[in-house]
Parts: sequence; structure tokens; C-alpha cells
Amino acid sequence: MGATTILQNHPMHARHRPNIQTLPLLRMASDLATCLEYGRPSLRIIGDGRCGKSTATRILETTTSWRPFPIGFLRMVVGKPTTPSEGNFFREVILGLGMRATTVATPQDLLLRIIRAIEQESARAAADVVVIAIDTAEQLTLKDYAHLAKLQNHFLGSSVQPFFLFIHQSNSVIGGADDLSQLAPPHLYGRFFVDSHVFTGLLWDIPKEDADIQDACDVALALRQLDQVMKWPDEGGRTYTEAFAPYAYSTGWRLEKETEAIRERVENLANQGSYPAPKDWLMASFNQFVYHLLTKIAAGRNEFEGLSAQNIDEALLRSAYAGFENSRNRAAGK
Amino acid sequence: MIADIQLVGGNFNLAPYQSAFGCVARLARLNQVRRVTEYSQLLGIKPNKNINLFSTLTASQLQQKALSTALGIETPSEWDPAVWYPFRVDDARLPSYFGLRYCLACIRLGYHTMLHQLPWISTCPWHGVRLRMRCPRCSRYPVTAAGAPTKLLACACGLDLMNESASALQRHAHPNAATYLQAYLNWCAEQRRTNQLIVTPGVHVDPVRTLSLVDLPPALALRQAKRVREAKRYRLATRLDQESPPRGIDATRHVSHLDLHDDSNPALNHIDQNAAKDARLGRSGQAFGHQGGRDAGARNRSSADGWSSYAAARPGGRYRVVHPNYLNFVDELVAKWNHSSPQQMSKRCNGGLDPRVRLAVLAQGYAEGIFISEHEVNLSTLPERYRSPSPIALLCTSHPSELRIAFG
Repeated sequence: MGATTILQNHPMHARHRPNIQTLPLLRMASDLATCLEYGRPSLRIIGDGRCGKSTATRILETTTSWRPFPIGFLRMVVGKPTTPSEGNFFREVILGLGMRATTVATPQDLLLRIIRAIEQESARAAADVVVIAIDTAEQLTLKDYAHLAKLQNHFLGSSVQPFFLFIHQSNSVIGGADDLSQLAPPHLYGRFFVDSHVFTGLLWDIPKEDADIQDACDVALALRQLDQVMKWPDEGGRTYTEAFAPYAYSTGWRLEKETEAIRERVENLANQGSYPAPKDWLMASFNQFVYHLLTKIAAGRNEFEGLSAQNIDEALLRSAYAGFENSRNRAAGK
Repeated sequence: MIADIQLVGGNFNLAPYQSAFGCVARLARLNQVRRVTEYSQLLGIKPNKNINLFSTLTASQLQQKALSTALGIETPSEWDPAVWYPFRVDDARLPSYFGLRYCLACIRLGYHTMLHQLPWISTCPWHGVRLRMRCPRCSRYPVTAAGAPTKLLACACGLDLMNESASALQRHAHPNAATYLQAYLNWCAEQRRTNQLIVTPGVHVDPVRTLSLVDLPPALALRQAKRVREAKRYRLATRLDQESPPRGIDATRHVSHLDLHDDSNPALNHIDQNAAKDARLGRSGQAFGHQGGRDAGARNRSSADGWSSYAAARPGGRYRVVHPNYLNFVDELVAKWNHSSPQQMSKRCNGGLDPRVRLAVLAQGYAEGIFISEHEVNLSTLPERYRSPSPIALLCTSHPSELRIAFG
């Protein structure tokens, strides 16, 4: 079997590619674990669109090492019913959880069904706490939060406790999202608005609070994952970088070493687009950037020795970097 | 499996070998399905309002198919009542209870299996509690109809047999349930190869009567209720591959009523001769104990002429008519025997089985005191048991061939 044939089966060529363990993900896991450990009822994850909040939530759902104790996990996407009512909200929750809904059920029946689903997940995971991740939470209204409070009240005194994880896109509305926390009455604020975590893309600079534990920025560390950690096959295989750039890898070249060169090209793009250099890199773009570098530019070629500025620009173009950033800046009014 | 993610309670590993009704009841309760429309939208079935959902789902393959399609599964074989019988039977509905029969501990978690419907199982094998058909508080039947004001598995008195929360929080199936059920189903499959249930044609058969015919093997034996234990006494077990009856016996007459004019009938003489040797315990003794002698201790001993354990005493000339149901039953029995083992029939019995079987049945019926009656003219004035008797039999064609008959 030739090297090219082997690379054709590489996970990077699959429709669903392996997730890269990033520091924003670990920061979110850490905050979530702390909230769970201290018995908080909810956590709001706030971040820009396409920065990887939902993917991070999905990764947390499937991994267990970050958890302080066994937890159940339900994930849902809330919609905005045309007619806001308790029944329609709970019906949206049921649909969001991927369950079948009927057209004639009463709000009480729908609520009971959600309660049973939470209990069932608790039993499945052999856990007392069930995390209910609510994606697109920016669509929730104060009335919806009141319905969630009603749901939570049903578990008072029960061994099972729901924990709400709101995935909130901060730039869902151009000009800034409506901040409900200012309007929430105390019984809702205390439940759903106290704890929040700002989710970012891959930061270009090391945060001050992490300076003593971090030896490189988020982007460099993400690239380091490809250089050192991610292997195929998992046991005894070559790293992703080595697999796609065998010659360059053998001469000591690493993706991580290109971090500054990449940053330079990113800032160049920002200058061309007349927007400020971004402080972070959206995961939606970063994943495609890495995919293009490895599979299209390095591509297992022996003559590949390292990235040129042209290579980086091409990968940024293919990953729609500028498009994502323009959109983000437009939403922020920059 | 679609149900696993789309419906609460869709993890069927927690309910091994559950019945179709058990599946619907559990899903309906955990998903708050009440109205007939909701059954259709969520579970795919279209039950009629206030119709017994249990009997509908047990009997209707169409409804079972609709349910399994809605759940995204193959129709489980355990939804077919026939796989729960250790015999073949023409009508799979016959040998089980038509109404819901449940174990209190199982139904609390919304679990029901067809095993609990079988007359020869009187206690839940893994909980050891008596199986019930009525509400433990008020003795009414729990709700098994869709669209009723009361929830499924609840009683009109307010007692809810199922605890939804406990069911949703269930983490494991009972550790012994799947093992027992698998062993039981394997045993049934083995038994069905040689055993066949034969019922009186055209007559309603109370499924309870089958309990006297089925003996669980030692590995599956349960602490059975007194009723089940005693039922075993009211049956005939005779080996069919023994010698033919004495010459001159004519028990093959096809008439609407078999007239027995006098005591010179060779069949009755033969019965008399064997009465003292192999009398059974139980009802025959109650019926004729004051008139005929019998030897209870000889029950399990082969008689001198090779016949075994069918005989009883004769009350002495008062009874003169054989009920047509018995004649029909004998015809059915002989036909099934001929059909199931024609080779054995010709090889071993050489045509002698027919009168043998007839005689055995007639003799046992005679012992029961119900098929030979002096009330020849007006049967309608008699109690149901005498007016329309419906014996059933379990024919085993393994070696040695055996026929168990329960009269009633």
C-alpha cells in the first residue's frame, strides 16, 4: 500500500474530522466543572458566532475526564415558536431534544414528559445531575426562563437535579444581543444569569491569568496538537503533521513553528479589509485552514519543506477566514 | 432504534421480552400519551376508544406491525403469544388470559410480559409475588383502554399501579428476569416440536383449564399457587404407545349422543375392570366415591393389561348418554394424532389407536361424571359445566407418546 493510498483513508479526509483539543474548550470545561462542583444551577456560555461553542459542548458531552462526578447530558436547540406560550415552549423543548411531539398534548403533559426524559437520562448515566445544554439560548425570552424555572422547581427535593448550560451567541443581533440579565427578576437572575463564561476562538496572545501555566498562545498550542498529540492510528501511529509532511517533519519542521508567519498573514488580511487585527481565530475557519494546509498543500509530498506566505494566504482564502471576520466585525459595528 | 431517542422509555433493554401491551403501556405513561390521537402520532397504533388495548395488541398482528414500524424495530417475536406456549395450538389466543394479568412489582416499573398471562404461571418468577388481574385496593380491573379518563395501568379508585418516576429512573432490568425468560422460551420452543394442544371444536375454552396440562421443568419450577397445584390432579395422563384395548370395544360410534343402554357395553365393562386399579385422586373420587370402589395408591402403577391411570368407578347404570362435545373432541383428537404422527400410527398402533384414544377419553370423562348423563332430553337445564363440556388435551408425540386430558 503506497503512502498516498494510506493518506486517502486518513481521518482528515473524512466528512467528520477529529476535533482538536483547544484551550478555549478546556477553559469552558474548567468553568463548567467548577459550577457543577459548587452546585450552581446553570452556566451561560457566551461567545461570537462560529467560534466553536456548540462543538465544544458536543465534545464535553462525549468526554468524561473533565467531570467532577458522573453527570447526564441532554442537548437541545431551542426555536422560537410563532405563538409564545407555555405549551409551545415545552413543545419546542421536546422537539429540541430530538423527541417526538404531538399536536394535542397539554402543557402539563409536555412538562411531565420533559421531567421523565431528564430522569431517564439520570438513570442512564447513573448520575444525580443532568446537564441540559440549550443551544441558541439567545432566542429565549424572560417568559421562557420562567418556564424553565417551573421545570426546575419540579425537581426540588428530588435526587435528580437539572443543570442548565445556555449556549448564547453574543453577536446574534447586529448591534449587540439584547441582554436579558438586566431585566430578569431576582428568582430568574439567581437561577440563570449569575454564572457565565466567555467563550473565545483561539487567542493570539496568552491571557494574563494563564501566563504562568501557558507556554504558547492558543493557536500555537492547537497546532502543537497536530504536531505531537493527534495520531493515526491512535495507537503507535504517526502524528497528523508527520503523516502529511513526512520529509519536512523529519527535518524538524513543525506546524507550530509557523504560528508567527500565519499571524503575520492574518494581520495583513485585516489591514487589507480595514478592520482591527482580531484577538482570536474562529474555530469554524481554523479547522478548514488546517485541513487545507495538511491535505492540499503538504498532502504527503516529499518535496514539501515548509509553508510559504503564498501557501498561508491560499489556506486562509479556502477557509473563508476573511468572510467570517468581516461578518463578525459587521455585527460588532466595527 | 428510533424509540430510544425519540420517546422516553424507548430503551427496551430495561424491559426484556416485554409484551406489545407492556411496550405501549410503558411508552404511553412515560410520554404522557392519553388521547387516541396521541397513540396514533407517537406510537403508530390506532386503538378504538375504550377498547381493551391489551387484547387488541396481543391478537392483532396489524397493530403490532404498526407499533414496531413507529418504533423503528423489527416486530419482536415475543409479541406473538404462540412463542410463550410449550405446545402448538390452532388459535394462539386460547391458552392465555384475555385480561391483563400482572406482577405488582413489575407493573410498578411499567413492565409486563406475556409470561404473566400464562395460566400455568401463578407467581412472578423473579419477584415471587402472586400475579393479579384486579386492583389490590378495590378489586376492579385496572385501565387497559386508550382514551379513557383514567391513565393506563391505573384504577378508577385512584390507585396507580405504575410509578412513572421510578420507571424513568430505572437503571437496570431485574437481574433474573432475562435469564428466566430466555430459559423459558427455549424450553417452549423445544416442547412445541412435539406437543400440541387440542381443544373441543366450536366450544369456548377457559384458558385457566390449560394450567393442569403444563408441567414446568425443574429448572423453571416456581412456587405455584394452590390453585395451580390442585389443578394437576384433574387430568388424565395416558401412554398412547402401549397395547390396544381388549377386543370387542366399540368406542368409535359417530352419533349425536352416544347411547349406553346397558352394562353390557364392552367399553364400560373395561372401565369397571380398571376402576379399582388406577383410580385418580380428586374430582372423580368426589363424584363417585360413594358408589364405586377405587384404589388411590395404585395411581402411578401400570395396570395388568397395559392401561394406565384413566379409570374410575362407575355409578351403576344411571348414566346413559354421551355429550356430543365429547364425541367431537375425540374426533378432533384422533385427527390431530393421525396428522402429527402418521408413521407412528401405522407402525405402532396398527389402527388400534383410534378406539384406544376414544376409550381413554370416554373413560376419563366417565370418571368425571359429566359426559355420561341421564339428562338426555333437556341439556339446557343443566349447569354450564354439564351443558357444554369442553375437554382439552395436550398431545405429546415424543417417546413415549403421551396424552394429557383436562375435563370440564
